[in-house]
Amino acid sequence: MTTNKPSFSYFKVLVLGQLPRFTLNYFGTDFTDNYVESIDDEFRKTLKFGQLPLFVDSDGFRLTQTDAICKYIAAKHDFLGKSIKERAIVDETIAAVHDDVIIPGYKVGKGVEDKKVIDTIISRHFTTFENVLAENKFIAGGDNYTLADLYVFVAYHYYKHLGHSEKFQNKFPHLEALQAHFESNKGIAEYIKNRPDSGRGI
Amino acid sequence: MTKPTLTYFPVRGRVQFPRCLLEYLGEEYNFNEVKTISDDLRKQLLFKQLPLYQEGDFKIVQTPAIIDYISEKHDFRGKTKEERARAHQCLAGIMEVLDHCLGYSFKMDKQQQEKFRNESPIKKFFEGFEMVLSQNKYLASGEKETYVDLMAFVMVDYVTNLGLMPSGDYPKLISLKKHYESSPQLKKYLESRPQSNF
Repeated sequence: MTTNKPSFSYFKVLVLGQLPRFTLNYFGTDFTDNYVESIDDEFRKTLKFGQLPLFVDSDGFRLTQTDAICKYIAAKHDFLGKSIKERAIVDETIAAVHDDVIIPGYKVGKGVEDKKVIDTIISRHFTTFENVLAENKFIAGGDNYTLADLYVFVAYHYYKHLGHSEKFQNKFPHLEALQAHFESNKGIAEYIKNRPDSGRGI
Repeated sequence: MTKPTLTYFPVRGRVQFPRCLLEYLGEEYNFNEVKTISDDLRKQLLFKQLPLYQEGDFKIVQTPAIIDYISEKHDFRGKTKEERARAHQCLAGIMEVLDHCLGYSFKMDKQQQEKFRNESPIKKFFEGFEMVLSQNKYLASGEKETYVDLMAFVMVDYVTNLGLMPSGDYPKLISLKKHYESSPQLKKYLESRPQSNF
């Protein structure tokens, strides 16, 4: 069986592409990162639902849908939690971060959603994550980091990138510590330093 | 073991997905129907949203998380990590369809419904599922059904009920719908579920 480097394809904007990119880089995966300008008809036909991101593993296995990609990579690295309940909390966190934090944050940044949404998300989601981390060392409540912690870090990092840093000031010490932990990872530090600027702030 | 409880409003909405799963797998559960989220209930909800799945002291919210938890308990997620990834990929697509429908359905008149069906934002998902089923017997491409085949049935059934079925032919999805509709495990639930339009 021929093996190639895994590859990942998404646009320059962070939004949904950043979650798999952070995950791949966290594990130091050697992969080809394709920054796509647009999806032509030919390429679209190869995408299950006509959408990016797309991950192609070294054995040719193809996968779309952000969370499915991240979970697949995390499963390879035993990063989804040790028990069925821990894994359920990982899933709960993934769904909340993706649907209720990243997407609305992106929409506000793009100017298609009311800015007031940000305050609701900070009080509802980031406060919840802070409280969970204050009670347990890890988001999924086990004895080690999981994909849930990485997702919460990405959301926190993204909201700062979107220009909401002042709303976080001195309020979230555990989220700050989580950010420091992940940003000290070699792969993540390199990715943050080298990723292209979309020029759109999102 | 404690009988699980699902809490949601008296509509189909998001809860029909885990409900169908529990019914199909023959797991007994309580359904706690609420008209609104009381302050007391809100305190129990991690992100202040329903559905809520509860098993003794263990609570989870977020529909895909509930689905995955129930499926893992019943070994209904696929045998390999590739199969599980494909199932998750399809579930994510199904949830996108659900979001589109929940966002529009109850605001539409007949004319808007027709427009939605023709310029459908959900069409690409139906085409994707149809293509997978024309090449494989099951959506996760393994040799056995998984939760995602059942969830695709719920999606097609729901979209049909809302009158939002995208234009085009989907023989494989229609046959999937017929297969699960005739399932004895689902019969009772399908006959007694809320007749809501969302």
